[in-house]
Amino acid sequence: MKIFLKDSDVIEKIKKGEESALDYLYKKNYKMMVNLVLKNNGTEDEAKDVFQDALIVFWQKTTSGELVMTSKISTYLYSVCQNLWRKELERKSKHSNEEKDVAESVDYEVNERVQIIHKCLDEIGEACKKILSYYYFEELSMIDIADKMGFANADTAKTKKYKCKQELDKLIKTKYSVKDFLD
Amino acid sequence: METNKLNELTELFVRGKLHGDDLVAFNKQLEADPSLATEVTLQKNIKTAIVENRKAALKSRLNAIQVPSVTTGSTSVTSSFTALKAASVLLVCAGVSVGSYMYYNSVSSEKVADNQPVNSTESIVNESVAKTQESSVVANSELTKENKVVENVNSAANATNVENEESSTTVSANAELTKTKKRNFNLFKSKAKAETKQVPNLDALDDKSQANVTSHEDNPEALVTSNNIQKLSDVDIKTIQDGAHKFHYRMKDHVLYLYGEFNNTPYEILEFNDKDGNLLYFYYDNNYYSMKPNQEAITKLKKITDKKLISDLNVVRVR
Repeated sequence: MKIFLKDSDVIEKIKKGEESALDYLYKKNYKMMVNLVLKNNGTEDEAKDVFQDALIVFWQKTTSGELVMTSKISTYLYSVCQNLWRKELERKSKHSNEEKDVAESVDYEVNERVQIIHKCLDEIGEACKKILSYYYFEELSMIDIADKMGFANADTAKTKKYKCKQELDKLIKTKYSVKDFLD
Repeated sequence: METNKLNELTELFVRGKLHGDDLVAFNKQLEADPSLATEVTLQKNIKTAIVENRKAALKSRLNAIQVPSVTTGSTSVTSSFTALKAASVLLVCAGVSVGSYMYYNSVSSEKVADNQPVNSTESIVNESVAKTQESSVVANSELTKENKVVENVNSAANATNVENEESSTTVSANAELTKTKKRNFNLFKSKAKAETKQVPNLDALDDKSQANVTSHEDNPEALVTSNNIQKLSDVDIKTIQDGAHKFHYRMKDHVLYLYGEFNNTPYEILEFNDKDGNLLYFYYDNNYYSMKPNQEAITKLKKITDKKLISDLNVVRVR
């Protein structure tokens, strides 16, 4: 059993935030994208990772309205996969152990902070998490956020977003100070 | 500068939405004010965490999708069974509308088996692979409203006995079906070999090679038009709720219009092709209904009561 969707329908669904459209693209293009990586010294797990990243790029650019499609979706995804995999290959080959160590040390500090923020995100509740995701990742307008969250209007969405962000900032700053003290 | 205004600018800066003079001014302030620089770093980290959080959720969703392994060239039975189970749950929970065509064509399988053109074979592979994924695809109510779902069950010439009489049609799905499926699996292997020539070397990739890849593997529409599925690809399914017609249908301009609340419950459309034309059956809420392929007027769906026919349709549908 197979489903066919036009590219325009897929884009429309993604703009509405229907994640099922992402599932559809994943299944439809999986073989081709994985083959791209496999034929270029990658493993299937690496291929999956690259393809998923490409899909997420596509999702984000579509929801935020940044995407201007001049080709088929699959062609676009193929190009993104190519670029991502090329970067990964370059990263693998160019990074000496020393460079890697320095980079990892910097990454570690940032990651540690980001981990703290992740914990705080878990504490502010699902609704706030969604609102902030829509705002920072999908880059939806306040009208769209209101629509998705069932708020009365854009102003309500703006207020909710403000309160959620304030709560998150407050939580993070509390945890940051504790961490700074321990350091 | 007023705190609220500064916060607003910081947020815009972190989101990459600050431009022109505002950006220049903010950068100057950033250089001059270490506490603002600290705040910007924190806000950048917050944005990163939010974005990562969302990406992780999307990745987790994608990871849960069962896909056939490309490296082994086969589909895990366990995986498809899991997908089936997951889909069943989704079916119950979400309330899904499903349009499916079962396409019976006694000629096509022989054609494909003899010629094995890349696109046709790919199409068949896709059909085979799609079967293992179908439940998770089907379970998606958002995707099914205007879709064509195609199950291409190739059969040998005598595999089915379809009589074109509305209430006394007999459909016998026999062992030939299994035989044909096996044949498709063999084609899958052939295709796997052929593909090695099509996937370009990454180093040699340019726009031209990209275009070539697109034309072969990256073009489901082309695959569809390359063989007998073409007819089905031209058919859309649309559901209409107009109040006056609550359980009706019509076929017009390659669109099947379903009148009623068909978005909330799964349905399937079984299409059988033989020399005399198409036979359509609509499966909905455990009942079968007959449909006429050329029915342009809005017509009420007529329930099939013939027990033998229902039994035969069940056999084919479950397969």
